[in-house]
Amino acid sequence: MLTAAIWVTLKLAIVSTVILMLIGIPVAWWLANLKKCYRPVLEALIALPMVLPPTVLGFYLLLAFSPDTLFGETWLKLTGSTLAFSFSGLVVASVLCSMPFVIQPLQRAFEQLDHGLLEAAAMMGAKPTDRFFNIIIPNTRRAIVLAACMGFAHTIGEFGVVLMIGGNIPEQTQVLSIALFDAVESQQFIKAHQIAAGLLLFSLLFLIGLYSLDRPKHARTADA
Amino acid sequence: MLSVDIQIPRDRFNVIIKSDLCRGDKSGITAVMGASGCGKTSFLRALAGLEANIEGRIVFKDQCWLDTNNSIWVPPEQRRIGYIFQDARLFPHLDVAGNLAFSQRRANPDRTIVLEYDAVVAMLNIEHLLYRSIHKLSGGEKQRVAIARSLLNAPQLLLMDEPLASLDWESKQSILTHLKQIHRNTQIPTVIVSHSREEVAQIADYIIVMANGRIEEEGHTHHMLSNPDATLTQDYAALTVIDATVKQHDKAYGYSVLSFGTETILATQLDAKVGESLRVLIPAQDVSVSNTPLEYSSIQNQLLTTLIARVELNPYNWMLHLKTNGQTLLAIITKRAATQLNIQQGQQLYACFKAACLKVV
Repeated sequence: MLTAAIWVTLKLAIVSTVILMLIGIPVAWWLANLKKCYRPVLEALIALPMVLPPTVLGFYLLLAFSPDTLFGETWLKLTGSTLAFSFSGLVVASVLCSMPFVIQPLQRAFEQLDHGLLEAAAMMGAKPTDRFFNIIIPNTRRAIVLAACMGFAHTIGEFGVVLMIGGNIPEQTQVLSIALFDAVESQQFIKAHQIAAGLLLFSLLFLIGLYSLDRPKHARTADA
Repeated sequence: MLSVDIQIPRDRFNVIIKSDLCRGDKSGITAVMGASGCGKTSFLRALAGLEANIEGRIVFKDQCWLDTNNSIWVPPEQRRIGYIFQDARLFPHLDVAGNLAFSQRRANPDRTIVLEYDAVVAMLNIEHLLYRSIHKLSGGEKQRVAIARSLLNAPQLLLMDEPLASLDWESKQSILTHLKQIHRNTQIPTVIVSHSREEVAQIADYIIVMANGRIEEEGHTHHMLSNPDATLTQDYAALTVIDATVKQHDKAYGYSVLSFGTETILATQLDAKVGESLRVLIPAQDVSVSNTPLEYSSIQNQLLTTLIARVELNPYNWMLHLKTNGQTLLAIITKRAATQLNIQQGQQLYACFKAACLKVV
């Protein structure tokens, strides 16, 4: 029971993090270089899950997942199943919920990146993809690692939206945070203690690891 | 070789440049001068392809880099230009050797000049820096690494945007010497933006003066620095450039004798071979004139000259143009002194200047 919940949680966090990074890096780069008046609107939309009760997001996602909507209908046609109460639905929801935690550090890092370096690389014959992998990525790697960790950790901590759209199906959509809720509801206090303590310990260790990440080089040698 | 006819729209004025550069008698190092904000950097960035908002045509040799009428725009990475930025722009995630390797790996495949890694590293004197983090380099070291990095890319044109502006005097001198030597060895056409008269006088073969986005004056260095009509001869920073040959060294007194025409100039001892040709810079502020030779003076250089022109520098000072052996020497004197000496056009005057005020490159 518990191992199944751990597995579902980890699988959800890993899949979501991969998707978050694949979407987050290009979107953050695009936003960082966007000089249009509608940029704050886009930034606000992405940041919404940070302030909105997850149940609100879950509610609208449930509506969107319904086969009555264009999105739900298309998904049903393509995959043969609905997103609601499925693992795929959980992934979609966690990606949306964790998006701001991934995009914001990336966008800050991309904004702070010295674009002069990209010009210098271009003058040496480096094409855009070459500049991306050999200048942008190495010079923002700390932010990239940070963004991935934030996305991962936040997905593990997600509760509301998962409950709204994933339900509580063991071995399919039951993640640890829901399992804890379930355990308390059904007065299985030993199990509740195990899950709560486990999540607490994991989160603490994870954050310690994150904060002790290597500082950027210039900060270390600034006084040299 | 580099034909430019471009227009760059800007807030206050448009940068409009139409010129043929680095061609025939204009070959060598071209210096672009002008006040801050006159469009020098925009011009250089336009050549490099870094200026997005631009119209017109740029053709280098047989390559058309820009032709807005025919929708041609070659991206910077395909122009094979070496660009030295004022702030060096070394890659912070790589050490010095890593920066050099980054450039060498992407070197121009059609290179005609092959510059060996070891030779470039030696030429810029950066062997001892190779494995250092770029955060631990001084300004001068950074700029030397940036120049080496550009050269290893085997560029067909070198653009330098105030490469010495943020450096101390000593680094400046060392890099200027390197730049001259690099140009001699590689013959890569070079355009350098600078606002320092002294820098330009030391290395440029051709000078372009810009103002408000346009080329105001252009010409060979000697002409631009000696012609009474040229703006560069009409301020306190004016200086004379004389091409001279090393005649002999006096080790005991620590001076060198340089000759041009039938005249000789004494300078503080130089690190140059006898017979080598050098450029002597004489600041106009440091030259005084006398009707008779000075007998009891420490001044080592006294050249007999003819006054060919005098231009009013301001209500209190004259700029004298003095001719000797086909070279013009500039001297700034007060109007009071001119009256006392009763200076007349065509008059013979001794131009006097200390050996220590000279800069020889």
